[in-house]
Amino acid sequence: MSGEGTVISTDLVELAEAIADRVREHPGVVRLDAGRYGDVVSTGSRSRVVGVRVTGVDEPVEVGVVLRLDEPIPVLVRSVRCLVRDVVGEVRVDVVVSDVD
Amino acid sequence: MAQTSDAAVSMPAKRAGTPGGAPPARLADENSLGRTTIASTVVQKIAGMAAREITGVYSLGGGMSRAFGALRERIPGAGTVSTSGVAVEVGEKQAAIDLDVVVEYGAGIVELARAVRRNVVTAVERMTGLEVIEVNIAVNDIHLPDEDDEGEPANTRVE
Repeated sequence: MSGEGTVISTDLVELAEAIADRVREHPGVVRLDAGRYGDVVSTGSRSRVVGVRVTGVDEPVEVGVVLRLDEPIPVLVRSVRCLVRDVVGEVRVDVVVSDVD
Repeated sequence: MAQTSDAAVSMPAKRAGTPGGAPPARLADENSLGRTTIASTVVQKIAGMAAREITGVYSLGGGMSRAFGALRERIPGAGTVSTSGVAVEVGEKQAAIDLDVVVEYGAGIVELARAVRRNVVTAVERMTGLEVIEVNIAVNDIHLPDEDDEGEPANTRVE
């Protein structure tokens, strides 16, 4: 298991950025969040993506979000997960809802 | 992980390795799509809002929770002013909620507690999808109508 200290390749950072951009487009997402322990991040050698943890190709992805409570959380989470799977494909997507607005 | 199980369906040899082709998912997984974690702050906020909606609830907090509220704010990600008086335990599928309530003078406490509990259970279950297993309500104080007129000391007592 790659922890938060692990530096990932530039390709993976780009993937994480693509996921982050996609999730931010969701109207129910206020912002991305690193989670309570600050571990939902992707750290590359030069940049860092907060709120998305990518550890490898075809590996499970974790996203941390702060949601706007217009709809029930399970509904929002389902659509966020769909957006992420559009980008990364058929991998497991864990969603952490760290706060609501 | 999910991909290996998908591949296993088309490859009988591999399928024998994982009985029934079931993904090696965690017990808590709803399905292989992924796990959803809801922070306790989220449940605290929703429960707090739902409790405050009930007429007769003057505020949340009071009693011991003020001391705990101060403590809670030192823990990152947990506790703001809006969540003082609300303590929650959140599991994968269930939540338990403790409320400290200051009621308005004149409100029937038994009915009030019932209304608060019903509203909190409905709000949390609808908004989070978690099953609320209990809502414990402690009525710690009563707000008297003339307390506001007495000046500053009364105000500080109720924030």
